[in-house]
Amino acid sequence: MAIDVRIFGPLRLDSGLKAFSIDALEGQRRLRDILLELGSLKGLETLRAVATEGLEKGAPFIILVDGKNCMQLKGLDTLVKDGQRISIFPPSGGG
Amino acid sequence: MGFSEKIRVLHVDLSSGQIKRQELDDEVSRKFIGGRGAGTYLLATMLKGQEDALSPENPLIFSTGPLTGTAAPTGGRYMAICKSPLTNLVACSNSGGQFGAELKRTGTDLLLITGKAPEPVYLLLADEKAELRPASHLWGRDTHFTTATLKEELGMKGAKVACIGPAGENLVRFACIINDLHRAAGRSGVGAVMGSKNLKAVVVKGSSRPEPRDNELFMDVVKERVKTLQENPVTGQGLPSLGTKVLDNIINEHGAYPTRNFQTGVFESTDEVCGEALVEKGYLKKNRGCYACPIKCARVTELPTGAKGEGPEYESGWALGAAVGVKDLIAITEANYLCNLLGLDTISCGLTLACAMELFEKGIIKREELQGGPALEFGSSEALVFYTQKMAYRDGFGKNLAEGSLRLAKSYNAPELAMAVKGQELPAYDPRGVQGQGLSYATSNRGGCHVRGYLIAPEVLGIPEKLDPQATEGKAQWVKVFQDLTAVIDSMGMCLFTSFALGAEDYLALLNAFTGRGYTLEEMMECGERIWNLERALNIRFGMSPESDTLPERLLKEPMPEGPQKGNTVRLGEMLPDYYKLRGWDENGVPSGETLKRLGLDQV
Ligand code: SF4
Repeated sequence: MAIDVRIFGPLRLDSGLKAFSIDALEGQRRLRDILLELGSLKGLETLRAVATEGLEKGAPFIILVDGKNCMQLKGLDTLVKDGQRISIFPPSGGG
Repeated sequence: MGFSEKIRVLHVDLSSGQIKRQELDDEVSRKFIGGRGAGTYLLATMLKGQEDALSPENPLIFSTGPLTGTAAPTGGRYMAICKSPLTNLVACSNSGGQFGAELKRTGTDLLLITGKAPEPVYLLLADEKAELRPASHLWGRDTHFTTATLKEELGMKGAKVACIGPAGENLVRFACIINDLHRAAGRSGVGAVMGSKNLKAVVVKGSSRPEPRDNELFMDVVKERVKTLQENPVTGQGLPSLGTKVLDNIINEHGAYPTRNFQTGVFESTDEVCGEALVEKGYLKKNRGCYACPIKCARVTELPTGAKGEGPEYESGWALGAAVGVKDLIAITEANYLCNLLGLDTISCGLTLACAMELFEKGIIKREELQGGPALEFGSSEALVFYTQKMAYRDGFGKNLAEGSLRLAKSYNAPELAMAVKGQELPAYDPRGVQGQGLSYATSNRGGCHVRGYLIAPEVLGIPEKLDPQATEGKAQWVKVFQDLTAVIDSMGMCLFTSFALGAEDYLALLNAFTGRGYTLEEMMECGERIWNLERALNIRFGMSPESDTLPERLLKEPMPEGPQKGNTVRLGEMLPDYYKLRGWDENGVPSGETLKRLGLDQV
């Protein structure tokens, strides 16, 4: 039982973490809980704040579940299932 | 130099060699702000419509905004404006670096170049002095050689140079103008227009800083906005650390990263070529900024081969990477350096090659036509570097590529394989995954382009708020507002990237503090709308048919084959009528007499 996690951008450079999987426990987990857990890892501390403060701020983190922004799902209450993939980006811009 | 409300024009006629100074009426500054707006206004007064873009009749305008050369954050931008040889519509290319600010310091806001020099020349502008000088010894040379030679010959260390490379001389339809070695007024072939005039370079050196109406007020407003930019996570951290290339993974994970000529939206080798890889592989040396820029998004890079330069940025890295299926970051970076040296627009270069590769894959372009060149296969680093060089010189098969993707595909009776809008190649977002961006592409006044209304910000990045990328409702309004605000920012002389952190009110504060014009927010936004409509009206004068407000058939009809956007197409028909209505255009996309009158454009 596993959920794939991919870390990008400055978060990847800071944490040295790129792609790994976490336990899906009972087969699904709430996104907020996953972020809290990831927030205990070195370089990913900001995810803790995201989990507690929410995503609606001016320049938000981009968190995708299977390529879909969690804001178009149920936000941090989205249930992530076994076999799904989470992609996490810090606030980003470009063009 | 005191504050000047009037736009100061330096008119250089290359045919006669005459150089004159003149001023535009106050009303032009007030109605069109400066930069993009004022330059397009001037173009509209000069062209009837049917002139050939590569003929001496087509003027070339370098236009700075009121904030160019000031302390405003990113206030160093200028616009190169003319009729485009790629689209036959308005060409209006923005560039940063130091050149625009230095041009302003010579006491000129807008440089108008007309006619054609009998022999290659360059223009030297040093404060009051303006002189045309022979440039035959530089003809045929690349942009770095040209820049270094001119600086050395003139012994002017602080001089800034904008020039063309061989691509501009050889009238490649998507040749760019390169300033300060690495910055490009990239799109729509402004470099070919410069080449058609036998103008190799413009060298500027000035000593007077533009003064605001109220210096104290202006500096206060500037300080506050610099702080906002520094504290914002995107402009204060994201862009400085990874540059625009942070987007490779974001867009790919969304399934909207156009791959192999937009055949799919997922590139399997993104990990190899992304911004993170550029850092991890050690190619990124440091970041660098344009004039007065606190963001500093530019990449200074060095390859294990010893080659050094700037880039790739997101668009260039994509066009020379995923778009052509190449996963070799060294080849991508080398091709990027080559484009800068030869003076080619990276997006159009990459996507024209991608089009050729698909024609080759489908057996439409035959091996024998390549005149001994390598097979045009997706993923081939060799083909990428080889044909980039060839197209700049119109050599061998490069002659066909130099015409751009639409003319190339048409010559094989396969126009549907050109991923272009109005003849200009599309940038690095597959709109099947971002509906509003699709509308923005379809209605952009310079064809395929992402910097006329960057809907990726709300639809993907969540700035200023997160929109559902697959929704079509309400997108017309977003596109209109983004297009109008962008026209304002471009006309002020600031960089669009500031808009990740600044809002319309911030631009208003900066503009009013500097010019003392006292615009209301509505008036400022109306300037943007006016500029947009002026460009539209000018395009119609140039012969644009409103049916060209569309996208390549692939994006409208072929569902995305895989990834998060699987099954999606662009639902343009759900947005375009709304957009026309909001704009005050008739159902054919022509601005109504009433709209033009309201905007004070009925005389133009
Ligand atoms: S944000 Fe980047 S492109 Fe814009 S002015 Fe700054 S360095 Fe130049």
